[in-house]
Amino acid sequence: MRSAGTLFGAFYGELVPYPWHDPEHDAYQLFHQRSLAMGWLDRLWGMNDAGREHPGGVSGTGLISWFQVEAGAVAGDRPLPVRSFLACAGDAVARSGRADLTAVQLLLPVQGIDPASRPAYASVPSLMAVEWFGERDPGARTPVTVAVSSGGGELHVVEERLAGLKQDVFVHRSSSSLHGTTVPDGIPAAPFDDTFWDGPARHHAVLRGELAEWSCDAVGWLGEVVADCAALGGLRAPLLVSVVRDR
Amino acid sequence: MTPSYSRSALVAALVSLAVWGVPASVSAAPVRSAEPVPGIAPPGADETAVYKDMDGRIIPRADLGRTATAQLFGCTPVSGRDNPHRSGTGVAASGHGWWDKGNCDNNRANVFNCLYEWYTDNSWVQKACSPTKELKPGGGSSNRTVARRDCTDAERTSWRNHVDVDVIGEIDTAEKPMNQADDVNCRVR
Repeated sequence: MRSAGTLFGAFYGELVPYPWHDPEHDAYQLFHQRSLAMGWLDRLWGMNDAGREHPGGVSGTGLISWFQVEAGAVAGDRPLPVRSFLACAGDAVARSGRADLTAVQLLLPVQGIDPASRPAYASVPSLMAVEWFGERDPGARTPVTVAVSSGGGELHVVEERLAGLKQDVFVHRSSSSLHGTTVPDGIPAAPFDDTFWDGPARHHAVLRGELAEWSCDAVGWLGEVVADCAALGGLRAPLLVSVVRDR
Repeated sequence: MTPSYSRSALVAALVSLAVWGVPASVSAAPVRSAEPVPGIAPPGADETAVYKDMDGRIIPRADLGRTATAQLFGCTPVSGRDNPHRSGTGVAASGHGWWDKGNCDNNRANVFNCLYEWYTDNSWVQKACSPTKELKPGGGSSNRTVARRDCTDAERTSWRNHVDVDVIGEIDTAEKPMNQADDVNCRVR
């Protein structure tokens, strides 16, 4: 399977295991089993690793699970499989306990997207699936802060392209740019070392707005769109995207 | 008397030297071929590559799979393994192994997995192996092996993860024991 690069996801918040949960069925096994059952394993991604503990052994971060795969080659009319990836991760976590997520963090292999291969009707393929969010509980709309961080590329291209899309899954209200290696306030630090991606993060675009719903599905959709906006803007390196629930 | 040479003959000689180099009969010393180094495996490398252990000895292909006898009479377990990958828990290459019963009856197997790094002489060189563990099937948290090797640097390199499953008390085969190569930001020199 040709690879687009490492796709990594981390959940932050609180996880209360079910009384019947056996730790033998850990994050790794559950994620592998779910991706095998759903036909995603070795088609959308190859398995790497998963766990409940912070990869760097850092305590007090609120990290409750992390998942790592090798994303497969991205077809011209399909997005990076972030939505499927987070659905699988969410299912794996839900199998083991009750989770209250406060943040989702993604490492997106933008370098695996070739914008030139996109057909004219699908330069951002995830827009073709936006009507899934067309009907929803009006009370589900959730204020979020989205931090997009890169090791080198300027991020205004992501913001500009996102602003030009006809969608209301993520309604963008305000933004700010930061430069330097200091992590923006309220955003979790990357749970891996700089050589794991294009780190350290030197540029940050912090976008504030509302997500249609606080779910792995909506966060995954946003991750896919950010990745395509970045690729269209000429970025060719992994991006760290953190989506934090504001209430 | 000074020998005379035509200008065109001199030019031809210089061009020949530039294109073909110094003839072997004129070379002062034999040229050593470059030492193989880790790299990115070209497509199809698995068809012709050799596998070497940590001491550089070639591992016979038969030792990486199962014998014809086992293929005729044995059951087939599932050889579980993931793609070799950079570990998020440090600067290292890592890979896991486990097993499932397939059409085998017994529920214990001796399992180990090894990581191989590709070298430019078209060989896969063993860089780390897990201990052999007696495991239950299923790949749960206490029923996996892990092989891991710290990287010298983060240069992109091709790796493979091989898992060896030997079901206890049954003759068994193993389908696809050598997992696919993936390029990893890790090089061990």
